[in-house]
Amino acid sequence: MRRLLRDRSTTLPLVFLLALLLMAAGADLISRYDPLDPVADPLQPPSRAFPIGTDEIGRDILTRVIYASRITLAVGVMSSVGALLIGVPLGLLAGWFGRFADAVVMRAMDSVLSIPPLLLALVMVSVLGSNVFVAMLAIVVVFIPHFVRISRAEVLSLRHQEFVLAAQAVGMPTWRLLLGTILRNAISPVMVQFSLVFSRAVIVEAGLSFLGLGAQPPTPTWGNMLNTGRGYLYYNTLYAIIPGVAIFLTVLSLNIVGDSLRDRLDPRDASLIKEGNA
Amino acid sequence: MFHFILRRVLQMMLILFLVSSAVFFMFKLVPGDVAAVRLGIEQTPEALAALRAQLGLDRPLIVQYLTWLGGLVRGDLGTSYVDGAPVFGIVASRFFITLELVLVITVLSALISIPVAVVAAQRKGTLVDSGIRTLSMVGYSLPTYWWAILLMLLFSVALGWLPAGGYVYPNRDFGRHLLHLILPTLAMVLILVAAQVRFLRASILDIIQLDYVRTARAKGLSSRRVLYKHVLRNSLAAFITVVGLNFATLIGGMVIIEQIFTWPGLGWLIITSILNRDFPVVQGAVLFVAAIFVSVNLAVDILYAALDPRIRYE
Repeated sequence: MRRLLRDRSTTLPLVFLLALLLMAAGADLISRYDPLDPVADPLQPPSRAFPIGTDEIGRDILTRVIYASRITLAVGVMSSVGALLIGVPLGLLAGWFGRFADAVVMRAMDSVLSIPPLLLALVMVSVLGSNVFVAMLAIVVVFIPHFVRISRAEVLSLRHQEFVLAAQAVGMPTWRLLLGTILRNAISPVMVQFSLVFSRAVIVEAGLSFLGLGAQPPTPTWGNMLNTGRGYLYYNTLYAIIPGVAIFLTVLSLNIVGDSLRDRLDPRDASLIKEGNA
Repeated sequence: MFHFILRRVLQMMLILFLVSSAVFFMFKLVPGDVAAVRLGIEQTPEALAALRAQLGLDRPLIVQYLTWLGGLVRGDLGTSYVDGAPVFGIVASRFFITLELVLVITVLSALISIPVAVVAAQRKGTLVDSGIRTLSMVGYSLPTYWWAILLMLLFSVALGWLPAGGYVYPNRDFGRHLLHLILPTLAMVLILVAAQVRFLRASILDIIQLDYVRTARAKGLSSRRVLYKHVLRNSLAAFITVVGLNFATLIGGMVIIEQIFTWPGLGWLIITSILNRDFPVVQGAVLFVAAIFVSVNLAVDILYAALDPRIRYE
């Protein structure tokens, strides 16, 4: 972690992410406008009072962009953590017990992976209803396989190593072996995976909101603002551009940090292979 | 080789079986009675019962499930709730519209990423390399939907050079057909190129350090020859799997691009069917996408094994 902070290429992204976090936490302190109520005439051009203008019913767009970071960060963090908490134990079990457990878990993961992430999330949302919790659940399911793979691979490479055999020989219970010894060794690849999943979760969440299937209006999210803004390209181009800039910079920062983590923790990692863009 | 392929085909069928079962039961979770929703305000108890019988909804769940599986085996994906047309036909016709776009995108992005990655790897550590790396990091992080809107803003709204969306059948006006193809292609290509360059550059640099490359150099071969004959050939085998996977993902992953550019392909079909609550079409389309994905995956695996003799078929 200290070395990550010293790496010059990650300084800017980390500062940005920190600023984003503070912005989300202190949204009420930063903006004096209400994000949900009209404060002026609709579709005003940018001005000193409204730096990006006002939206179709007269709310301050900048204020809404600031508040929207809450949804993005909350959904991103919670769904990545959820996927990790389900995926890692599944991967440990599949890798350790092998045979039947492994076959069941891995075929289930293959099935999840056979549908593009956004499409899978879309179908789940269409069945269970469009709101922010379902979106989060869908993103969790989409990214479970990423954690299963990584932790399973780690178990497979460790389970015949001497220190593991030794721990078994002295009678350490399996659950302690898995959760202690093995997990401790698997932590760096899992962390790298977490940062990549986080950035992709942000993209999927914004995509779902863009299609109208994430958090519902009037709650602002970058995705649903982008979608509304694109209807007003002729009035105020910034309306469609700024929420996109926010998504882009967040994803870019997460990717840079994730990359640098990978270089540091785990120089030979092939997880890039399966990373298509949703 | 034969056993390898046989095993993979069986595995693939198992996955498709799992996906189709999951899809079937997931749509059974939809709250509310499909028949009641379809009849809307005109419903009478008789009409409701008749429609439920017609759709097979009055039979036990397990019978419905077996009927659905039986249909799948015969290529029967059911009929649309909206117009009663067979789902397979609807999905197939939209598939070809998406396929054209995805093929253009895939070929173009592969043709661009190979030379770019080679240049970056050859000049590792120089300004050119870090420029390419920065650009590909940026491209890799671009959200498709935003990038598409920016392109539309520039080329349609500001410059007026390209249509902002829509589709013209190639047999009606081929020139305009191609014109409509440009923006959605541009929107995807940069992002794919970015991801592929990142991968191929890393893979070339990995292989360059291997002993056999050093041997080839020591033998006196020119570095050009080593790069093209020995290094690139081996990295391309892995690269093809990535391109194949991206292709397969795109078939079902064009939802947003098709929505933005009103391109009437599979993604567009899925979105409109979800909004119309035409679930048989959604089920069929999702299953179709999964089938394409696992088949391409299998094809790519076999190709990879054939291209790279180090892969053994266990």
